[in-house]
Amino acid sequence: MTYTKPLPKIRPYTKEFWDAAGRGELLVQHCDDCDRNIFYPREVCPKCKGRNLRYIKASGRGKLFTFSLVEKGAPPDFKEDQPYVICLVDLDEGVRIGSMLVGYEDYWALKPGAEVEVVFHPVTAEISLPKFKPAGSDFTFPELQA
Amino acid sequence: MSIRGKVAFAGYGDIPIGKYPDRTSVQQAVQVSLMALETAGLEPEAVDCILTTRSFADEIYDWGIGLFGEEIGMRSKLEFQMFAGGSSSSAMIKVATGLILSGQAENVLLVASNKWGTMKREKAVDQLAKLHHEDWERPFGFFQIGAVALMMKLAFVYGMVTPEQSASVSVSNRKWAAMNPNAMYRDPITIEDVLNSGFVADPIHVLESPPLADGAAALVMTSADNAARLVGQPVYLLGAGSSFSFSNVSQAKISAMEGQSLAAQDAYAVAGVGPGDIDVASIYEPYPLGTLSWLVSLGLRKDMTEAGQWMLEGGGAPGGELPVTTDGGMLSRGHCAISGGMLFAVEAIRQLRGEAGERQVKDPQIALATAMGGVGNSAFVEILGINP
Repeated sequence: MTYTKPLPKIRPYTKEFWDAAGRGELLVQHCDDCDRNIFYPREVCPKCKGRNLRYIKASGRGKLFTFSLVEKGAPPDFKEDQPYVICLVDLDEGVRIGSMLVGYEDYWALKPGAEVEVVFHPVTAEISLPKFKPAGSDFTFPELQA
Repeated sequence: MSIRGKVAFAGYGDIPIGKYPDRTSVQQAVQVSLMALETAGLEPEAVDCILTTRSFADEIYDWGIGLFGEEIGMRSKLEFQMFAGGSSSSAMIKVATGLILSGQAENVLLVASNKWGTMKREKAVDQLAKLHHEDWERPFGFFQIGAVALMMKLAFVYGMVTPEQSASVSVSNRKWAAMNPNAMYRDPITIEDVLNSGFVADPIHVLESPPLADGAAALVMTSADNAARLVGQPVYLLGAGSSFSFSNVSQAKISAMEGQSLAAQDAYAVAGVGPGDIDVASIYEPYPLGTLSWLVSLGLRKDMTEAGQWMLEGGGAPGGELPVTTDGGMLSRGHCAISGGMLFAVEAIRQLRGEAGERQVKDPQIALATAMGGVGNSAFVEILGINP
């Protein structure tokens, strides 16, 4: 079945990110000029404006900063997924990432600060979306059918 | 150079807000502009600058350069579109102020016209989703209310506000809307109605999210001297402040409320007034927690908990301590996109001119209007008064 939801564009400076995601690795950017981690990826460091940016491998672990159960308001492409949970995760690398939370048992028992880990959702041959699940959950997405 | 009292709003225009399939963006814009010129006592030929903004609905309106001037039959020196989301109109006020004070324009017409009410809801929601980063937010099901909900969730999780306090803002706004003949929804609602309406996105209930509407608004701005010649009671711009802090919610280095505070401090400093001087607060919510965070950032209440309890006890409602959002706001008057933002200034002006009918506040001297863009990333405050 063709994936019809919005897809990220692969740009010269994000191809490495999406290639790694396809292998099940989460990357964040690192600025060698000011020694800070950056997410989302940029062409110029938003802090020091330096251009010496490279990707480093992230642990894939972090803590829930906040989350919201979407029941009725989703954009048309995501209607069929309702209810679903969007979230912001503070990665162990000190950067914040927006994503979806999956594999949870009781939404109303979720708390900010809960430990989460990345789980990749392969949606096309080129794109695997980094989503998050409670740490230790055995939730996985099905592999793409060839 | 301070802008305090140097420019004024000579006129304002609006129309009924709601679902009006027979009105086009252009027709609405013409109608409110003519009303603004009439209330300003200004001949159309005297307008030398027209500021417009996107309709999101009619291609001819959004793409026709100088189209509005052509439709209404007004030639000007300068006509262009401005866009900063829901705060576009406040950005237009800032630009008009600069053009007037620098002598580059004399009489500026500001107009916004939008058609979210009769547009298919899916199309409007999809348009709003474009506010979010196409690589890092949209693919994950982010959208405007959802992103706002992510921030507001924390206020409930950490016990700063209760669901009842939040719901009371919708109830208060509806009481004001009942007295606004142009409002989209005017029937009374209760806290129970709000809490039983289901979640658009937790913690925002359906009756805590603004109904999308068709609407339009216009303002005429000119120098203070001109305005005093044109109308009996000019409404002077005493101060204006703004802050842009982020675009995507994951990137917020300061909170939406901190951004509001920066805008408020800016506006108060220019105006030389403080929270205690405000007689009417025309607050761009567009969700209940937006009202509460504005009440705090404007210095009108101490913290979110106190703001919530104050609204629950009717502090901002008709007959309360300080009239808040007296036209019913986005929540009840209706969210007509950019023109909905301009209506907060329209309401402040109408109250100061003593032309607000049944909902008229008694003898207000100073009012404030706020605006927000995107997911709360831009914040604007205008302070208006009847004395320069």
